[in-house]
Amino acid sequence: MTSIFDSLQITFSGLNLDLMIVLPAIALMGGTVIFLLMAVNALVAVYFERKVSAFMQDRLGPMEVGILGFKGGKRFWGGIGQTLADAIKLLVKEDILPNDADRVLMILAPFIIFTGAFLTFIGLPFAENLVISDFNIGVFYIVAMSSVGVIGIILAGWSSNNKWSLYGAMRAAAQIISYEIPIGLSLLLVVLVAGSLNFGDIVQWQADNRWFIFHSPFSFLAFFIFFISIVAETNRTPFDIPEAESELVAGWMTEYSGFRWALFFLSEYANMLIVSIVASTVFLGGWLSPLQMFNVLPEAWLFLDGPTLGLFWVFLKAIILIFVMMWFRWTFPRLRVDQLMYLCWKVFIPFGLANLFFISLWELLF
Amino acid sequence: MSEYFNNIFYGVKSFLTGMKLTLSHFKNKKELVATLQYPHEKWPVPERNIGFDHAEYNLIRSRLHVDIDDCIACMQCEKACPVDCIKIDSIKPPKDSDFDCGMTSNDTQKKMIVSRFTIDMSECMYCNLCVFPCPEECIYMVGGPNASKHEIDYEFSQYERDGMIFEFADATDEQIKEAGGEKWIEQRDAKINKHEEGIKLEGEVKIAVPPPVTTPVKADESKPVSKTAVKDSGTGELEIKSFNSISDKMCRGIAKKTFTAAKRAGKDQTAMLSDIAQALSDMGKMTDEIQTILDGLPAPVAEHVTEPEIEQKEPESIPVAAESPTIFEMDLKDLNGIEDKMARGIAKKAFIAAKRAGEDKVEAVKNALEDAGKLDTASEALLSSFTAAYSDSENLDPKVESAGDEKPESGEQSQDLPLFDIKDLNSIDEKMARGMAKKIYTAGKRAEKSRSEVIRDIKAGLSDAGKLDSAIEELLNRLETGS
Amino acid sequence: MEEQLLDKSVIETGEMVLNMGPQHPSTHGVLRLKIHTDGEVVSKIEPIIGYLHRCFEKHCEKLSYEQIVPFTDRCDYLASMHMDHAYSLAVEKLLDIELPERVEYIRVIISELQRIASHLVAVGTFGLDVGAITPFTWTIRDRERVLDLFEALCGARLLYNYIWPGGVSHDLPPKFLERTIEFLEYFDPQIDELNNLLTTNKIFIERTADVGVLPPEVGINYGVTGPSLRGSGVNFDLRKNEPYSVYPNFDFDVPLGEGIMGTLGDSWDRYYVRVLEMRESAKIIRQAIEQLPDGDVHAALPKKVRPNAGEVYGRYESARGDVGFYIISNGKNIPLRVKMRSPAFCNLSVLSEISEGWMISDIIAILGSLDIVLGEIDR
Repeated sequence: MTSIFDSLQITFSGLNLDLMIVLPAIALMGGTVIFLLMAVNALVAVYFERKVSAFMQDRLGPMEVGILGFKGGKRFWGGIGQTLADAIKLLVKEDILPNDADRVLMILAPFIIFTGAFLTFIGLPFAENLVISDFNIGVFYIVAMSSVGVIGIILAGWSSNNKWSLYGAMRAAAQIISYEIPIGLSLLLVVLVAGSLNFGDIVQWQADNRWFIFHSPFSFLAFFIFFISIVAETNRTPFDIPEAESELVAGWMTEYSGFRWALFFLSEYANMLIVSIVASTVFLGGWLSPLQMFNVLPEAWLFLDGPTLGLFWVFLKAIILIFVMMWFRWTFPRLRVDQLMYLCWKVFIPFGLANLFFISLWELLF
Repeated sequence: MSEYFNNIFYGVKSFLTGMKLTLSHFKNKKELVATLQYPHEKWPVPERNIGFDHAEYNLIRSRLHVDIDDCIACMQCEKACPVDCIKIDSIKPPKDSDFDCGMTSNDTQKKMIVSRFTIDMSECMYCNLCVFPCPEECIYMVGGPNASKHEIDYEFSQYERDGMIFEFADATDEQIKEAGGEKWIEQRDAKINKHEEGIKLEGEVKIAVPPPVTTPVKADESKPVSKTAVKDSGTGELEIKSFNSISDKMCRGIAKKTFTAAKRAGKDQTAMLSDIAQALSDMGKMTDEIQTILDGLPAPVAEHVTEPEIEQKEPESIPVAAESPTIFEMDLKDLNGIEDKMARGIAKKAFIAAKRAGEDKVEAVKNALEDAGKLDTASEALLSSFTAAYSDSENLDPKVESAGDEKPESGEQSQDLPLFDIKDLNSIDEKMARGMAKKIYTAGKRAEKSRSEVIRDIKAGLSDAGKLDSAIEELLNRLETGS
Repeated sequence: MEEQLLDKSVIETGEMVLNMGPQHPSTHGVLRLKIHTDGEVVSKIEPIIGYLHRCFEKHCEKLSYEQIVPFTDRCDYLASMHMDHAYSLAVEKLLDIELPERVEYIRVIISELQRIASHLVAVGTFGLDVGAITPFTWTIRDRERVLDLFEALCGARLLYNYIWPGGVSHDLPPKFLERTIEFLEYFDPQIDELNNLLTTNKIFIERTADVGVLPPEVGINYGVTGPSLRGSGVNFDLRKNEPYSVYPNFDFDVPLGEGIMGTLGDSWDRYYVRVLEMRESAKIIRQAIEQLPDGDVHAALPKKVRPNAGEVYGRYESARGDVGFYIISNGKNIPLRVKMRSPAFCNLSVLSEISEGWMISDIIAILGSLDIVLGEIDR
């Protein structure tokens, strides 16, 4: 697996430029791509979420705003320009800082959260050879980086000088840190079997054997635990207690508005994409085609399985997972703080540990 | 331990049930979506009866309406209203007079005429209590079975709060006088005058409120409204962009700032310009160049607003004439023409004092200036021009009224008349024709067509639809000549 | 240094006072709760009311008996028909008039439809309070249908002024009964859907069962009435205990809380009693439509409501509990004094008693399960 970073470096090295110029240039290009990806992801995902929620609730959702006079195809999928309009509104909106807020921290907090999401993308594989920078410790890097955001959340809650924000921040800290443990345990199981922390190796293992979710009953359970935990990690219903609207108004985002609030929003949806891509890479075969498993295609169609469509398969799997997360959100009520902790410490962690033990046995036996 | 697993099992099962349910809603959205996309699709109101036939439909509380011809001024509805949003005044003709108040459609002889029937729908709480006691069934909620009597106000919304006050009485002043209601008219006029005086003292420009519905508005009330409307359309042409031609950056800034402030204060165009000139000269930035630019600005507007005849008569007092053709009295703003700052202050003070006391303002100002020794020739000339206008106004009054009628002649001379106002089309009676005419008008306005072209378009469009009758044609001809 | 930090006497800990409302997503209007908290745990709670006070009772001293009806509408704006009905019952008692059978039956049909509409809002917003958004839109969608029926009936969707002292303002419109039956047919499966989505959901049960237990004796002591009291298993329903109108003619049950999912009298019980009551109301409407007699609805309508001097207290079982109207007449067409007993006010007063020791999230759930309407509390 060669990363974009490596291939760009090779290309530029042919030009005989100073390394001090080449490296920032490559970093800038990579950064721009990530930022665009995050922005587009937020625009599309918000529209998608609004439509999904609307249809589940017997509504129509946004129908009015279009792009350049085009409102969207069929009767049910109109209003495609709505999120773009919302984004523009957020950017030009007044940015309010409360009088007694800790101004420095309050301004800093959204950028920390944003940075957390941004950095995670660097190690994220979108397809074979389509990763900004390929680490040997890719899985570890992503788990580490995705928990940077919690610092931003705590800062945001503390600096707002608002009791609701404080509650939200404290809840978020407890929740996100707790749920990293089941996530880690589930990923550890995969690492144990594949024998590598590198995404490329993990997917290669799945190509050689089978998808991890079908590897053994324990890995299936691990996927289940992993998925529920990432829903909690991204603060979505039924685990949205940090921003629980009916209780805490908007949690740690209560005092934010305008551009800074938009950054929170951007990061939230970026996080959804990140965890979905990780889940699909680690458990669902990444850029491998599901058709490969059945081996039904004739010779001429085999390119569908190949790396050409890798990006498509990764995103398809991620989108399905994102849809399931939305589906959760518009079906379930919200848990209480202690129940959330109960679920994590008394259900997921024991199961995760047992899983780890049994998968070791499984590996020894088979 | 088994309870622990039972709990997990039950939980997962209930989650799956719920998710199955929401997914089925997601899939069957075509049948299940309950949204009505309001501005694009509306329930047609009379059919908004969940399946009942139109004829059988019971009631909709949309808006109160009064068939004033049937009203016998029994005051039952006024008494029934819990929030006092109905106000009725009636005049009973003296016993010896042979004034006929008319018959209602139930063949009841009316004994009084209704001089005022106001319903403030912004106060109404739609309880429907006023409808039941009415002996002649002339007050009703629009909609439902009453849909045939009056068209339904679907949205029933207004841009101005005043638009929610509905005046239903249509008795003319002559009728009221004939019925012996001179005293009532006196009281009403006194009230209106007091109100207008208050507005003048406040320095507010009255915003023209277009008559909300097709209900006839009292003749004497509609007059000032239409006149202010003309004035307003003139004001609209002075824009902040107009000052871009001022080259000096600082001057331009000052001019624009003053303009915005004046606009917020609701001043009219002339006052605005004089404000700007004042501000600039205060800063010592007034140059000849700017003076010419400022002079050039109001010109087209003044042409539009002023009656040409008056302009000829008093060429020096353009500000007065441009102010408004209806008000001949001196206005506070006119005193801005006095150059000496101190003198201006004294003059204004005296003016306001005189206004409050109801004395002759010009005289008072003159005296005050004289006392202060500030009366120079320029201001004297200015004041005397008012005196002339003031004293003339009484004699001139009928003449001025006719001046309005004579305007078309002068209009004909200038070939390219400005486009008429869309409100002028309101006098087309038939609803559909009116709508069509307005549509064509708007299209023409966008395409920047001239007046005659637009009118030709409207005529062609209406005759295509077979809606062009003699009344409309006459109206359009009148509009073409510019009356 | 380190020791000092850990010493509890150095770190000051104390209660935090949290102001919830009057602008808060789930205080059901403009209720303000002053919550004393230690972390998430609530130690004391003070409801502060009066942000929606509109001097209803004082207004009544200036208005004639007929003119008061639209104002009663505005007290409990989610069950306006019940308020009209309760007030009219009291005035009729004062006037001592006999109503035509048809009027009574129409009133029962309308009141029970209103009970369904009101409970739908209560159930939906309760779901919203514990974080389930979809049930809310579904219940509101069904409530719309009831409001459509009411609009056909009297032209208004929320504040009806329909039930008058001595009768009703209009007779039923044609096809109204058929449409009502149609609605009931449509409505039954919707309750099942609601049960599947919300009532039996594990998270919902975890959030509401055993939470905010209202023991029967505490409920009675505080004067709690309506579904909130019946959730605690107390069989008290004015339609059965002090029957008014034609309720004795109908066969229906009074659903009581049984503590199926937890303790008797918890939030889930209060919620489930409302769900069951909707079914019972549907049952009553069906029977009333079958028995509906003919007649003139305006027959007993007094030309002028001018009762003799005296006083009266009328009780009525509204969607929120026992509504009472105490009216003193001095023989004029304007009452001397009107006092209203607000059920939601008494139900709210028990909040601080039953919510101590629970978490902030639970306060929201308990408040939602009491189903208060601020318009009625503040009047």
